Amino acid sequence: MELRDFPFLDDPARAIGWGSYRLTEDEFVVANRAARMAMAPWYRSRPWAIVFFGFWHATFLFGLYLAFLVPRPAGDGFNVDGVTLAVASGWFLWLLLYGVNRRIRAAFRTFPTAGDEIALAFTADRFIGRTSLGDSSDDWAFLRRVAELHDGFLLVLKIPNGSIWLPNHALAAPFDHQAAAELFRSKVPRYRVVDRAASAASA
Amino acid sequence: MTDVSDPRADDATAVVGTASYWHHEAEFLAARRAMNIARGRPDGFWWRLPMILFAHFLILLGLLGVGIAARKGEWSALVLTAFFGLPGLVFAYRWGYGRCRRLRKEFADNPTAGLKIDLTFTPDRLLTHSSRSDDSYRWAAFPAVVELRDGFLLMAWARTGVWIPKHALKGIDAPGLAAFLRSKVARYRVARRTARISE
Repeated sequence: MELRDFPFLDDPARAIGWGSYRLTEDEFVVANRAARMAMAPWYRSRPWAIVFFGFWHATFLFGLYLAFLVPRPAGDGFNVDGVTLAVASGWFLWLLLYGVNRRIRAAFRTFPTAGDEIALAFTADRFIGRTSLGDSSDDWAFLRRVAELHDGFLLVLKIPNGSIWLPNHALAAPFDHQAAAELFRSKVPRYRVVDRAASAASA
Repeated sequence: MTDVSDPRADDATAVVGTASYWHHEAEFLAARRAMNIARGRPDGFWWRLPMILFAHFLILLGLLGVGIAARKGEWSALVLTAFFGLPGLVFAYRWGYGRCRRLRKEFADNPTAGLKIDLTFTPDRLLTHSSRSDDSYRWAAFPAVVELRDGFLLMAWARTGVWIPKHALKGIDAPGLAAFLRSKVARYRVARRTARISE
């Protein structure tokens, strides 16, 4: 893809930077991991992860202990509180930890731009996107915040569940990671640096 | 076909029709309500009432847990408080007490709040324009359409969509747009509900 391929970019000279990449399944998984890191501290910080998920594992085990291991009078059956605790915390762990990758890979199979080339260009007043399904040119005010990771940027939109992943390898020279960081910092008031990589391979 | 022209369409003569409206609070709420109706989650008060009552039932269970723990010393009853009472508080705030505040905040936060929205329908694409955005989507971007009494909701992926109020149509009437959308979008559904709350 070239800058002149963006229909909403009348003059390619106005572009401060741009980039493009193919949305493969692995890239989709990395983008979702970046979104989780931008969203919750237990996904971006190991100490937080140990505390948060450790707590839910402990409640799960405690529930099992209450349900099946605490001695009870004959004929009392198992402890309902313990079963509730184990089921609720087990469901929570599946929702937030163990089932995440499976759900994301399943979502990729129905994602409308799966396998497409995603292209983004940035001007002083707009960010411009292009996929096989459409083109967009939106004011920077459409961005709620930006998270900078070692291997890319997550642009969080002001729509529910809306975000755009821009990996470093997509950036077209001379627009590199540092230039992109400077641009996003100057355009979006809520800017966060996450000192980790979203890609497990480069973590 | 009409003679409505739009300079952003690839071929101005191919414009099927347009729509234009101001994105005020009433239109924002209508779009939101349309999305809830389309997703089978009607959000009128009488529809929300059972959920609000359910939230209070959860809060009562939570209080019951505190009561059992305090009176009988069965501290495991606090599980009821943690897993029913606390979510009940969240649901009661989300569905009941905090709903208006949340909606006002969402509207104020919306980048197109208060702006004029122009929509153009061409055989290939939907074009949208405001002073802060220009978008052009192929019809394949919308897997489903829901027609309500007062508008159409083009549903995209991940609970997003484009709201087209019937009063905003120009150069095409509602039955005409309905026929056009039926020919462009795979799933077309009619909901005999009104999205816009009467003022």
